Amino acid sequence: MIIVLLLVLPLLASLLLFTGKLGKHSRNFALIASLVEFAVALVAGYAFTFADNKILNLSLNLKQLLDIDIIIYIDSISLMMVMLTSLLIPIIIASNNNREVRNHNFYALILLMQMALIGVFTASEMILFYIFWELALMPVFLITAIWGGEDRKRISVKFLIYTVVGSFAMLIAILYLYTLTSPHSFSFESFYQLKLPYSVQVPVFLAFFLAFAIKIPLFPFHSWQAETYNVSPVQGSMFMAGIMLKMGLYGIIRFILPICPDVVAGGSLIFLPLILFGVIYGAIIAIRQPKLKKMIAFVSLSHVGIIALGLLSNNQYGIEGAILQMFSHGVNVVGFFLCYQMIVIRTGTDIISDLGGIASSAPRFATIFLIIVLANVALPFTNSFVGEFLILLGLFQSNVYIGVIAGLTIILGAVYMLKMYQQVMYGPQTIATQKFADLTTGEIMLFVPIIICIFWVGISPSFVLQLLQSAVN
Amino acid sequence: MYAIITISIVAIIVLFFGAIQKKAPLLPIIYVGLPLAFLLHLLEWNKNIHYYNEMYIADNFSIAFNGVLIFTTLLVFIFAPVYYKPVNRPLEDIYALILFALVGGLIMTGFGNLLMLFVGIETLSLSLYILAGSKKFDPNSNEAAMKYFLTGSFASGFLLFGIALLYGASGSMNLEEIKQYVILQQANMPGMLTIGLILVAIGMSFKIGAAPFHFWAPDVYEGSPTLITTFMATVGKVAAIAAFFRLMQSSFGEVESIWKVTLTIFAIATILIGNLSAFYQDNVKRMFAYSGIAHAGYMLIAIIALKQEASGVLLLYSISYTIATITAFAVLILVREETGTFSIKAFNGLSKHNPTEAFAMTIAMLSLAGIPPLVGFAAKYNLFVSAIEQGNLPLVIVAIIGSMISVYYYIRPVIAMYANEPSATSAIDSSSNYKKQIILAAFLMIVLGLIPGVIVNLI
Repeated sequence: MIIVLLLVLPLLASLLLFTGKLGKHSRNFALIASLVEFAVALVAGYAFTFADNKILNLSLNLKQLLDIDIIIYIDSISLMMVMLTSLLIPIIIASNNNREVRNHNFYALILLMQMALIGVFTASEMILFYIFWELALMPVFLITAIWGGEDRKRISVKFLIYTVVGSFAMLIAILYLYTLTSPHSFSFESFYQLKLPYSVQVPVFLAFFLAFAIKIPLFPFHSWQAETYNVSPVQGSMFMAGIMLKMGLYGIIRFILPICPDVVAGGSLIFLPLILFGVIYGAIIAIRQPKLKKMIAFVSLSHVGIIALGLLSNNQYGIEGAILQMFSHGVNVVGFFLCYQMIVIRTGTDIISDLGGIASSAPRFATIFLIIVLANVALPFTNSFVGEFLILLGLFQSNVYIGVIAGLTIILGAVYMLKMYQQVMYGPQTIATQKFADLTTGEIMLFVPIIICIFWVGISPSFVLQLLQSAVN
Repeated sequence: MYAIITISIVAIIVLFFGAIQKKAPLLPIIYVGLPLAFLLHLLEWNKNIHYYNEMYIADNFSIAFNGVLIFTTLLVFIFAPVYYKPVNRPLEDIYALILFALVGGLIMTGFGNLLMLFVGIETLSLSLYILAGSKKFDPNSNEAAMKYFLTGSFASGFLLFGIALLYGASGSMNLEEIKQYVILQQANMPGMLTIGLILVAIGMSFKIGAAPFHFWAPDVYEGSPTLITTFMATVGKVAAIAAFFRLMQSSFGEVESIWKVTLTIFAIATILIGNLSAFYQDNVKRMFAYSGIAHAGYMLIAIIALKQEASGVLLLYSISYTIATITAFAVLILVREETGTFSIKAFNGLSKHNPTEAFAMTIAMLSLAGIPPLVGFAAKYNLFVSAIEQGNLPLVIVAIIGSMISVYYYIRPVIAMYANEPSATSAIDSSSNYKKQIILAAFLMIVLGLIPGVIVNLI
């Protein structure tokens, strides 16, 4: 029943916050609720690893009342995503510094989003999954539309339309597959048992792929991403880059790989080069990007492309690495956005050429930022190294040429990250950075869990990989 | 039957109090009378009574739909005092006409004979023609009434002609007897019956506002007084859909082949035309007219694809459409009072001063767009699954594409409310009663979205 707690806790906290009764305590309440949720997730993780994992499943037949069956199931992939969500949300809430404008509704939406995300990652029934999937869209849309920056209306609507188009394509695929199941059922199990002929797999693959490629986003469906990240408040961007886009990758694991295996195996030369092109494209734009936040968006586009390559490589190492990298990317990109936020609060600008020489006045910040930059570059002993290494290994085994080109993009990654770091942190101080104060203890605390994750996964990944192995098989 | 009698009596009492110039007791009588009528109606639940030589059938289908119609009308009456605040006279004529229109609707959901169908439709329509023009000094309202009357009576002509042909072919107007005749003649259907059926279908399509007979709807909706538009868009449409469903399923369910293709084309055209036209509207009232057309298209899917046992799905869809539409119109009435315009701009920054109304409007819009976990999604999901089980995949794909388009226009008022700067300087005050109703409706949309099975398995 711990799984019900995972879903209900954020929902209740969110409803309480929506009423606005908590007033000034909203932020603290939301923070405590998310920490409790994290503790529950830890208990779930403990139970999964060391104890009986029956408590992590829930199956209720409520067709008469709800019209759908509730089937919730946690396996190691779900567990990983639940841990990621519940780890990052306290950080996201705690990092919010704009307390006047962002009232209780802001925190309520964040917790509602958490409920929806955990639902997406644990649901084991198609319609339930779809409900959570759409539910996860609304809060982040509202956060962007209400608290975003300039031109937020146009951009948030663009974001909404993009993702809704994808979801509806997925809905068509789900309903179509439903007609093929016998007896008719929406449970994942019955969908997995379908042995579709190749000619049916192709349209199903395309519909699912459209939905997930928009959410992730993959080239050429990415044009909402940079704008939306840029205009959304930092917390919204953390959400989207850190957790929300993992929904798309998770969808690939859950649906495309088991339902359309022949397309993944046979069509790799069609979509892998396309994704690879997106990886290089994102990296090249990131190198030339003058604004830090937009740069993070393109860096993320590039990194996520590599994860998608791993998932679709049709190779066990590639898939394992990709799942691990989903976790690492979430942690790293949130760390990156935190650094961005620290810079913007202190200097009021995020144009890279206006910054410089921060390291001399803020050594602690420089160290932390460096760790996060290096983790993004996939230096050995950081979390990204393990994931990207496995992904590349998988790619090499499935297709050498794609593996070689994907390996070369790591170099591009080093170029844009180090170039940015050098420009922002070293060199002469500018007007904006003259009075750059170093991090306070409270701010350092935000980074602590991120840095622990970077090194822990980087130095001893075997623990996590063992967990994943069985699920991947 | 009790409901029809009770409501007719209430309407006459209302007229009487109006005649002696008493204003105070009018609304309280209605507020008591309508729930009472429904309670009396509930006595017939599960009994499946046939009245007067099967002229009127009180089965669970008609009782459930009548419940929707009665409570929708009740909500319209609750919003009436705010809408008619500036008017000083007793308004007994308008109230009584709304009640008579409701009686027409109640007859339509439970007809057992084609004559009763015609009587019901005319009772509803004649009242609505007058109500559409009830803002006597407003040229738009007059225009709406005139257009509605001319096109509506034309459609009634089609309907009547169709009924005559059906009678000519089968020798009866009783649904059950027509069904027996149709089953007998299944192999070689007389042309007269086919033509009669198509003519009836055209007449009904006009009444529900389905393309290509939808041209009256936007102008009539826009010109009529907003409260009447609300009534028209909810009670008028649901009653017509229920009648259409009953007609097709109880008499012609066995011979789908002769009407299925026609109705499928109507449904596809309705969904696409409704959604695509709503896309371009700046006037919210007009947008709702087109959105209503689109929803008529979705409900046509129910008529095409559902079997009579699955009518709960249509009930759920009607409820979801009705609650959301009425909430949206209630907020629109308030906003219009304050800003004097029906443009999307009128909603600018509503969330700053009136968070409750803005929240309810958002829920209504998202529900109409079919975003989970609201009731609009549950309704669409049930409808699509039932349709797809009957092998109507292309139709469902069109419907889903239509929903995709609709998200854009439904989200525009939401964006205006939350992201734009307010145009009004102070809060729009609404009576607390009004606010409670809006909250209740929003709450219902969420709760029914969570437990749609209750409605689907009701009948």
